[in-house]
Amino acid sequence: MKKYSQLTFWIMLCMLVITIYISLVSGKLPLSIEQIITKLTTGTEPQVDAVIDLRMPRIFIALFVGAALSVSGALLQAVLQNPLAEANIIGVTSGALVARGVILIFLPTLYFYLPIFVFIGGVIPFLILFLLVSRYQITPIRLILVGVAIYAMLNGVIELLSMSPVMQLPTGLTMKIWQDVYIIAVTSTIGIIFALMLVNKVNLLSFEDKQAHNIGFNITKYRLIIGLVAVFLASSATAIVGQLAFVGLIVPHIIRRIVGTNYKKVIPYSIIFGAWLVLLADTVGRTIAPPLEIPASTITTVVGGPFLIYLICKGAYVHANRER
Amino acid sequence: MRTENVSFKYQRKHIFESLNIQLKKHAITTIIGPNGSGKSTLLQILSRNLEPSEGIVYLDNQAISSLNRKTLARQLATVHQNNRAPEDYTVKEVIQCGRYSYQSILKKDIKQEEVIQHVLHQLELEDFQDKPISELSGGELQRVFIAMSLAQEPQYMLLDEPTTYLDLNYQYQVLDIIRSLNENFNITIIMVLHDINQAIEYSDEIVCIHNNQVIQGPPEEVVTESFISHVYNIDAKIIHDPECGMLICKRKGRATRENHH
Repeated sequence: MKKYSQLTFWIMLCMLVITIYISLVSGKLPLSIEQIITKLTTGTEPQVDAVIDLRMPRIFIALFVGAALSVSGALLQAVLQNPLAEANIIGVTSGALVARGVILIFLPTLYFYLPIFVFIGGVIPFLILFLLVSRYQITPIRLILVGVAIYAMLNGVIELLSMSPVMQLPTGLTMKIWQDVYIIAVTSTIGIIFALMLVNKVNLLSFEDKQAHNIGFNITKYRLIIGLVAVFLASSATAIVGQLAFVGLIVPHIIRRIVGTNYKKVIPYSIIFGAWLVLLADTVGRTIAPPLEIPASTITTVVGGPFLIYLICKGAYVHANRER
Repeated sequence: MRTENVSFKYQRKHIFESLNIQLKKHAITTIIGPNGSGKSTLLQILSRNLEPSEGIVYLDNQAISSLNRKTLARQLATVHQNNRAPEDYTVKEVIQCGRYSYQSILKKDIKQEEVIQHVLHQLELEDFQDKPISELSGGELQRVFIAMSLAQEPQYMLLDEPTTYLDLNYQYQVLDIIRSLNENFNITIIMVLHDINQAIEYSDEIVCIHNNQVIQGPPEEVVTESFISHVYNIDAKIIHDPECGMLICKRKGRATRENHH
């Protein structure tokens, strides 16, 4: 098992590197290997320089956003003990976007503090669900239904806010500059470092509350802390690229299939696989039917929707069999 | 361990009021009683999973509500009825979680390996130690959770119906383990059991709460034919068998309360 998962790790890393390369050289402005060598040896090559300014930020952002969303999904699934939890489905990203809109339209003087408000906007839907779980211990499916209701409601608010000319939704992965890269690089790295530091505690969240209390583990406190890390990761990704549905759902699930449920493995693998998946979605989206660009969010939604349905049905199937 | 004027309300209904119970140290005490008599509730209050609406629970003359989480965990361990653990954890990793209260960022838990090896040996889990817990049977799993609490090196151990979900063989295996912990390490055991015969065989003291009255004492004194008919509404006979000891049997025929609504 150990060797097997180590092999997977290297395969994933190779796929990631290859995808980065393909993503870099293909597109409206294709690059040849000679041009890259010229750039590396002489330092200047106009077409490569253009790609560095236009395409490189996009690639970096795809990688960081993919990693952040996947880790966020894995953490939320542990915190809510719900395999269907994901920042987008439960309304965290919508909350972040609403908060962003409110600041842009009504309190533009606070623009500088935007990241903080985006985070707060994401925290609110999470806290609502968190209270529902800890107070009433609602079932996983019900939790998701409540989450979807919050999501739908907040998306309505986003549409309302979009009527204002001042409100701009983040533009997906297009039109990105290096400035955006710096922001997402810093925030997602901080979030991921926290996630890795807390990985043992994430595992302990699988205990029943009573068991946790009796071994001296403050499970409620760590649920909250880990949940906040997840919301931080998701909302900082959302602030840059907008809603990118289902990444946080698909990635941890596939990873669990391969390496098991221990978060010591799930988190690092999710980082690599998530980064790869979003970059792949973006690369496919912009190269499959030029000059048309299919946004990465469209691709993840179209692929992720059926995946969610599959997970729900599979859960229902397992549940039905256990009942008998 | 003792309770002082402990009351507990659940949705405005009094489960019990002003209970004063003194639980003997270094003994095995079993809490029995019919369904809904609040025996599990009492155990949850003793393990600080539920807070009494009034009153104080003392552990070695310290109010348990005043102890911090980890300090309490080092003195008192609890094995619950429903247990869960990270699926992919091996037996050893789960038992290690019992050491949580000894770990901190500043101090390394130097005794960890020694304690865990000891516990593994004690519960005959050495051969399983690297197996993921998802592959274990119910009886093995229950032993793992008892082992996890033992890794806390507690002086008190609370068990909530440790034999549920187990077949007869495993039930007695678990009870024998519990008895040996009491005999060899002087651990004070407080548990809830459904089976009165097992309670009689394995306990030094029986506690029963009935209509807010505490009935407490050695099994031979507490469990009488009138006690059974009073508390459980069953016409029972007590048999003293030279090989099996004291046994409770129901006399043939219907339960005393004939018109069961």
